[in-house]
Amino acid sequence: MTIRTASIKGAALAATLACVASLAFGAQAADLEVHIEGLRSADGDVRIALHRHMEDAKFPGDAGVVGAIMRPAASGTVRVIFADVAPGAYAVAAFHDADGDGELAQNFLGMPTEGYGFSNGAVGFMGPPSFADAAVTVGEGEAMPSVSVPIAYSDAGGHGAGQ
Amino acid sequence: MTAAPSRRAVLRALGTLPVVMAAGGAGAAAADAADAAPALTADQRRLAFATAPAETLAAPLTTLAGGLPPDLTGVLWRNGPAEHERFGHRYGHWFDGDGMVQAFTFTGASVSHRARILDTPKRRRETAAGKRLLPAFSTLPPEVAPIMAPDDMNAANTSVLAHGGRLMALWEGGSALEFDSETLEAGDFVSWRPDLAGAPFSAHPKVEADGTCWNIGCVTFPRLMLLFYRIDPQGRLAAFNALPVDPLGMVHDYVVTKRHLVLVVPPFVIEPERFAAGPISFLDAHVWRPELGTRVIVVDKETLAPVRRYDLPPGFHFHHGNGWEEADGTIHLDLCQAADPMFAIHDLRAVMEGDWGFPSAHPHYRRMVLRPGGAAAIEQVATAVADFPRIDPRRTGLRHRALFALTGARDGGWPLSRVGRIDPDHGVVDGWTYPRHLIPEEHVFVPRGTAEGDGWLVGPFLDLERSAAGLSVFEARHLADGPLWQGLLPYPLPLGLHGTFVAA
Ligand SMILES: [Fe+2]
Repeated sequence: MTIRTASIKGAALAATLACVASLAFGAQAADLEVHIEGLRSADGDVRIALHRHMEDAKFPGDAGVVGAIMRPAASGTVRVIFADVAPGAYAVAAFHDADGDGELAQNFLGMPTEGYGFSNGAVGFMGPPSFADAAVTVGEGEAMPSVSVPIAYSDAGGHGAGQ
Repeated sequence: MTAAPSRRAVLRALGTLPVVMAAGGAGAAAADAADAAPALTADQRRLAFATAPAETLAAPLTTLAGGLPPDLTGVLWRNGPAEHERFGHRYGHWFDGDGMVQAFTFTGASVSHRARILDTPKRRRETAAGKRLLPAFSTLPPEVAPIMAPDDMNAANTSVLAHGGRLMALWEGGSALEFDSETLEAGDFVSWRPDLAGAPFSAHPKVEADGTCWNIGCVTFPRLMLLFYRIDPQGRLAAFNALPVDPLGMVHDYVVTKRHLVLVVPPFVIEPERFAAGPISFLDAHVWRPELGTRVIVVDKETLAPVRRYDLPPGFHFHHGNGWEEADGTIHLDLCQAADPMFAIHDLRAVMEGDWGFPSAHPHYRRMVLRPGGAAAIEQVATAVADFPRIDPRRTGLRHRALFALTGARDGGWPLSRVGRIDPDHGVVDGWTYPRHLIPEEHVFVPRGTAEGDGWLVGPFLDLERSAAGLSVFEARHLADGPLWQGLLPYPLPLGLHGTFVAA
């Protein structure tokens, strides 16, 4: 029904500082290709955050954000690359900021009214998925790992996610 | 009583003559007599929570006995969970299953029945998937799909509202669902204002004599809020407000008085961390915290803002009856309250397995008094178990002298086996006990004339011996005389929840 928005807001902030995140931690870093799929329109932007696992913080929380990208939205799929990602486990959270205000819009019930999604198409029961469900592993020296982030829209009062 | 039928004939047809003769006096005697009947078998008990025999049903009722009042014309609309199994998966609680709307149409000479399972977005998704997919009130399917909005799991299974030219099937966690009066087919969810799409709208709206409709909504995730709606007689939203309340759990009903909405919040509250922790049902996300006590919030009808709050001892209830206030601001209201929510947590699950032991505390008729200075009390007026209360709708928000409810307790049977009239000052003053094999559902008051209480009491029952649903009509001022008329359908129906009578 809802998704915690703090991390995505944090990601948005980060995105204003650097359009492409550079995350090189070592020589074996790889580029991670992310496909944001199912965008309904070219309105506004797509905001994408790369998270790493935090033992003592909830996913998707600000604390875990290691990179953020903002791109103009396009109908269908938007492809972005997080460059020089150190080997390890990551999860991607993205939302379609159709009104371009930098926030994941919510109605007064707290339900998102803009589309959002997580890597692997992971979905939570009534909220965000676990990091583990959304996790993608970037291996050492891997050519170009890629991951899909399907965007789901809640037609408030209608049917929604998942399927 | 121009059309007084032969009550003796009614009773003979039901095989309950001795019972009813006893019921003419006191309730206890009637219950004792009824208990002389053989106990119900497990198969009979299961029939009360079996899936309806078909997705759509239609048939005339056959008169068992008695005669119909010719001036009783209109439609009794009803709703209730009626698909208790889908794709081999049985729901675990009375309130889980998908709703079936029903119309009992009274012509004055006959009654006919129509019913249809509401094909909600939830049900359509499950049909497309070929399996149970979405959470229900208290039951999760083995693999549960995520919920993005409350209406994703809206079962539209609790009541019917006819207002502003619309017919709506009500749930309480999400929107009202419009349906067609002829085909009974599900239409769209009602959005009272674009930004309120999907907002909870309770199953107990109150329509005042001038046509104004009031309702509440109870938001329990992700935020905790009570919503207040005022809808004009044409069905347009006239005023709305949202009030954060923390902690908060299900608030199923409330009362309106002349100047206020009164919400009684039991200490059975959502623990939001339970939702966050993983798949869990709405009911199981609640915890009983008696230390919180019962919180009462009095809301001004003009501003929809809270103006008074009270704290009372803990208890759990689903239903009120009516509320009214004195010139000095003292508010009186009815409630059917139990010591704790175990009947909802345990007993209403057990019935799905044919277990009618009902070990938990039962709801009883109680009266709450809220004084303007801050004093408040709950009084137990009647010792009888009571629930499914209804009033003469002409008294909504005004002082009432009669509350009609299912009352009575009986060991080893359905605990709400008696149709009773409660005087808020004196307790149960009239009633008729259904024989053990006839399980009554909510009985609705249908007004006649102008005086309070002048009218009929109309309600369905399930005949566990004949495996058939039926309907009773009582003279509301003479319940002890037994039904004026009873009719029977050629098929059974599971026990439903609430309804509304729309006069022709
Ligand atoms: Fe109810």
